[in-house]
Amino acid sequence: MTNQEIIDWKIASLANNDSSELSEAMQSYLKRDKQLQEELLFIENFWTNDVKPLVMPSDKLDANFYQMLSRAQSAQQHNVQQEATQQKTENGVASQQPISFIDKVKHWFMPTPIAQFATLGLVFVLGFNLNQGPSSETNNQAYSGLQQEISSLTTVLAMSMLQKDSASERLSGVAYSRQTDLSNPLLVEQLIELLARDKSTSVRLAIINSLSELKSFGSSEQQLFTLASQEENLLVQIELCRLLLNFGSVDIKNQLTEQANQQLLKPEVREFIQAQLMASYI
Amino acid sequence: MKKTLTLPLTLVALLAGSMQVANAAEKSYSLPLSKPGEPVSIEIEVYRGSVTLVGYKGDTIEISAKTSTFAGKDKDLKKVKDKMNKNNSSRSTKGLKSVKSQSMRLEIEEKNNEVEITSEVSNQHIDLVIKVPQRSSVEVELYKGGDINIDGINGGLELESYEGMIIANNISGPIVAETARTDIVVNFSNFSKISPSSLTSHIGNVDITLAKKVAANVNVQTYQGEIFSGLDKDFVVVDEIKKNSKGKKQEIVLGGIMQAKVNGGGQELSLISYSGNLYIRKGK
Repeated sequence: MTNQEIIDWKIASLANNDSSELSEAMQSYLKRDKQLQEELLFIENFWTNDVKPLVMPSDKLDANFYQMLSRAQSAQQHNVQQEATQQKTENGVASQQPISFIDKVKHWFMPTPIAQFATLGLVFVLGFNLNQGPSSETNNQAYSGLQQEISSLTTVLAMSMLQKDSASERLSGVAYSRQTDLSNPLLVEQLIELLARDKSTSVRLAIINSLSELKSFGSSEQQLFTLASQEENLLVQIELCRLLLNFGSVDIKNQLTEQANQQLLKPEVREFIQAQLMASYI
Repeated sequence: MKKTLTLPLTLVALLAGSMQVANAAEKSYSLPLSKPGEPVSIEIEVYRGSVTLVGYKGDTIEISAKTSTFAGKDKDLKKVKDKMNKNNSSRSTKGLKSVKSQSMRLEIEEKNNEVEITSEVSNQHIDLVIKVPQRSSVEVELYKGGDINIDGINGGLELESYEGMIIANNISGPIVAETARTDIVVNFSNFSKISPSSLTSHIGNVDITLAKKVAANVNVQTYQGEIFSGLDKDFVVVDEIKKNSKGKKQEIVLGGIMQAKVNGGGQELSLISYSGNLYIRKGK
């Protein structure tokens, strides 16, 4: 009996809207572990989007939960490998690709609404951020692998949140996108598409801020320049100009300066660009 | 935007309530919810008027609406009238009395606890006072006229006012609010950890008060305005660090955003204005 089995049961029962009870053995195990009880409560609250303010698990709890997930993953991979080896020996044929814990979780969450998916994403991110000290080389590799999985989960989470009706949830999506390295081109595409059409200035400004994390604008640079030169919202236009002046190519900076010189931009934006250019000479 | 719920259990309860109020200058209406005790979302769109929302412990939506014919100056409306006058020759009013319009057009719809209240008539000024369950999440869009006032609502708030102020008291958010040229004044009694909050006024001021227990990362950004803070924590510049591939240089840009971590920090609360001032006050 492990904590993971009980968490598996909890998530599966929430995902399937299943009210089946824990077995007696599980109940007795759960009774002895107060931390696990709190973790289950946290998951349930987040999942059901409870109207009461959510109480985040403590740092210690996060750390414990993350380590537990990591252990569960290792244990599961070990079990799956053992089973695969056993099957190979018994049948003499290659078994199916082992399904990782994360894949299993993705399978649960993919067809379900994002609030449910967010549960795990948040818990993973919380746990990961608070556990940066692996003690051995093996752990290091496991943590590194898990980090990639988290990045992939966070990307999916961000992309889903960006599609929400509520501006606050879209802001969450932008915040999640900042937790990835923006290496997923689909996520960047979605951010720029939202930047062009979102009705909330707050969301648009947050996206611009997030795009500063990009290693290179690549083919999006010209699109960002077009947005900057045609934008009607003053705050958005200024921040787009700041983004391109700080992180754009020399060519784009020149194009933007040219636009300012030819008085094609709003006076406030021209003033801002001139101030930025002056500052860069100092 | 109204969502279509697809869960089988909810299909049974697809009872849409709809009401149109006419020929009355003042009207009250009590709207029962399809699913008492469950989350409520309220979407309000008013062309001209004011919107006041008060959270209470009940489980119905109590709507009070008062209308008057718009008598002020409105360029858009004037243009329409001028055009109409050119096309229609004036008629004699000899022997006729002027009858003032007292009709009210207000549409209210409810479906599965999702409520939509709409008044889009341009020559009608409507003052709405609505009592809603405290847990409600609320979206309000007001184009012209007065202010948006919110009091004692714990759910998410999404507020947009083009001409009037946004005033919210005793809320916890998350809140995303935006005005064009008027102020946003928000008093947080608590602060939601669920999603970020953001208050943007293009040329108006943003004035917030944070209760002592509130933990948040408060971000401030104004281009031509000033920032006044009563917080114990100082605001520091948030630098942008461009991550480059290994071995290459890192680029650090001093950004325009400043941040204070209140009570150790927490969810993001951004205050933005182009030329307005930002006020951050410490509450009780």
